[in-house]
Amino acid sequence: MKLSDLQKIDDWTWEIPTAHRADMRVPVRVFGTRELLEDIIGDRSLEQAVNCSTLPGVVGNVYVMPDVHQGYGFPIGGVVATEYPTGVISPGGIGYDINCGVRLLASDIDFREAEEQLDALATALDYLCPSGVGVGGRHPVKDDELDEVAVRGAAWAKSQGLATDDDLRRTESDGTLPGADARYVSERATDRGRTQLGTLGAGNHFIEVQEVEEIFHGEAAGAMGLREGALVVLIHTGSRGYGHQICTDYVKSFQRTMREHQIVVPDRELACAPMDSDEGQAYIGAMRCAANFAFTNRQLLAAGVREAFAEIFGGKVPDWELRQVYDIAHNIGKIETHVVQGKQMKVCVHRKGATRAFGPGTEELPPEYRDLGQPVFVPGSMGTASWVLLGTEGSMARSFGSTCHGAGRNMSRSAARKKVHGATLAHDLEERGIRVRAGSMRGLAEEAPDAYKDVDAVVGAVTGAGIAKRVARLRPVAVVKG
Amino acid sequence: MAWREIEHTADWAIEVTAPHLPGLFRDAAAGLYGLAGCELGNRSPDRDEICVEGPDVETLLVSFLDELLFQLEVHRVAHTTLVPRIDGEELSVITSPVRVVAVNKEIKAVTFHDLEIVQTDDGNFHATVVFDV
Repeated sequence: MKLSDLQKIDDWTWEIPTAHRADMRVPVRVFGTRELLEDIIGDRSLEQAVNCSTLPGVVGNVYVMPDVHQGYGFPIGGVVATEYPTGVISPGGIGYDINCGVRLLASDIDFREAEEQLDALATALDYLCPSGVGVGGRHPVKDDELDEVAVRGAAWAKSQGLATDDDLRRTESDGTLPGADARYVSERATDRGRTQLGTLGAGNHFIEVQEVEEIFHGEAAGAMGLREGALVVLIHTGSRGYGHQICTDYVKSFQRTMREHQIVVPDRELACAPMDSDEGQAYIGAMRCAANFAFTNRQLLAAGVREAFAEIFGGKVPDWELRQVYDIAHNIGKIETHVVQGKQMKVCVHRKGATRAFGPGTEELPPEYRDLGQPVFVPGSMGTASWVLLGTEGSMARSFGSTCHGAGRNMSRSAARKKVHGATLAHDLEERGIRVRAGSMRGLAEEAPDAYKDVDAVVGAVTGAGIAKRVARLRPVAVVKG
Repeated sequence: MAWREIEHTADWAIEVTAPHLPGLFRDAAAGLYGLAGCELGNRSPDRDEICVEGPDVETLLVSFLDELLFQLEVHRVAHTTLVPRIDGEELSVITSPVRVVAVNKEIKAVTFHDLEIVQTDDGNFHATVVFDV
């Protein structure tokens, strides 16, 4: 792929027309500046986006976010909509880590007043929020309870006294995707998930304590409870082995399903099934189980974060309590209604490394956000900023109500390990006032800031394109990683 | 070493080369355990058998590695001294299961990405396997 293959629509939007390849059913639209694009064409992400445009039932455009990087089948940072119910659903378009997502909790604790306790807070978070390879959760469940988690999602956590009504209201889809069906989840997925509920995992998952550095949208920040100089907490994780196995199971079984339905795809990781087939419906039921597991997972970790804050700040700092801002998914498939070629159409929106960013007037949003738009969280790498954004009317019109999800990698893990020494990185971060608790120095090196794109540039591109608007910039002060 | 780690932007990938297909399966397993940083306990005289099915050899490989990953994650067992046998759409592998003392890195899944098992002019079999991490 070359830059000359893309047509410039405006300063922030580019298009690969269907003439680029004979099997494309729809164009590919890429959000980004020219500089970001020159980085993007360095890997196979745009070729993968073109492959996505060949899926049966694909409608509108395939959208590519400025933080995109090469994935398997689908690029990571892509949005694909297929017509419901006759179009296909593809597990690869949602990802192995189903409902990997981000939750933001806000406080009124002033960073400067809390600074001396942040080391102790980081240690408490590391202890109370299990992370790392093979580490089990603090709330092991039996199989029938796990099935209940899969169907009820965060509502199960509330029934256990581990969530409030506000937590659920301020979660995408209220923390429960209806239509989850545990009959379509394999015993293997249940075995993997049983001990992992309430765990962070490893890799690029984290809990980060941050300071609200700058506010750009006073009204939205006020509605979200964000105050400049105050501490917030970002939780990034997903459905753990439960979701990973569900995706694995259906990518494998759909290899045979495609033969039965005479579907041919250019990449095996684009394996898919018509949504109105038995196999398609089974995957949808199982995928929703994994999504609900992930909402519950982040809810239980939030409970651990609240315990840590109570331990460190309770009785010492007034108003130490954490309140939920919102919780979003960035690997998910949702049945939504969007305008396609001037008509309302029910579609399955596959968001893989992309975040829902519904605009003002969305009924599902809690009343305090309904006139503003949906909160969106864009974590940067360790040591760099994260962003709070708002969904816009522009995203509804231009990207199936979607925006970016993070900074996006631009360096392989093996290259990062060669370039960066984990212990040195941890020391450098500590020197900059970012306390680090990491289960693996090698894993820390792989997540080095240099391995990621410039999150400020990514956010600049999505706001320039009108598919999000800035609310606040956050800077990290403590990181917990597996 | 019959496997080596290769560059991949977001995940881990290995390239495997072997003089025959059973060897490729055995070396891919070694690659999975190597990337995961497994530390093994003492060997025992026990034997186990892993059986998977698939319409093609790539699916057999993904299914086999998926089984190893499951055993590693849930039962903390690694399967060594592998003797794989492929018969049409079935793979059976006699193994020596070993307790795993520690796993240093988490692998989420074995993918089909870029997976094609090819035999080159020198008679060797090659494959690239990408793991989601």
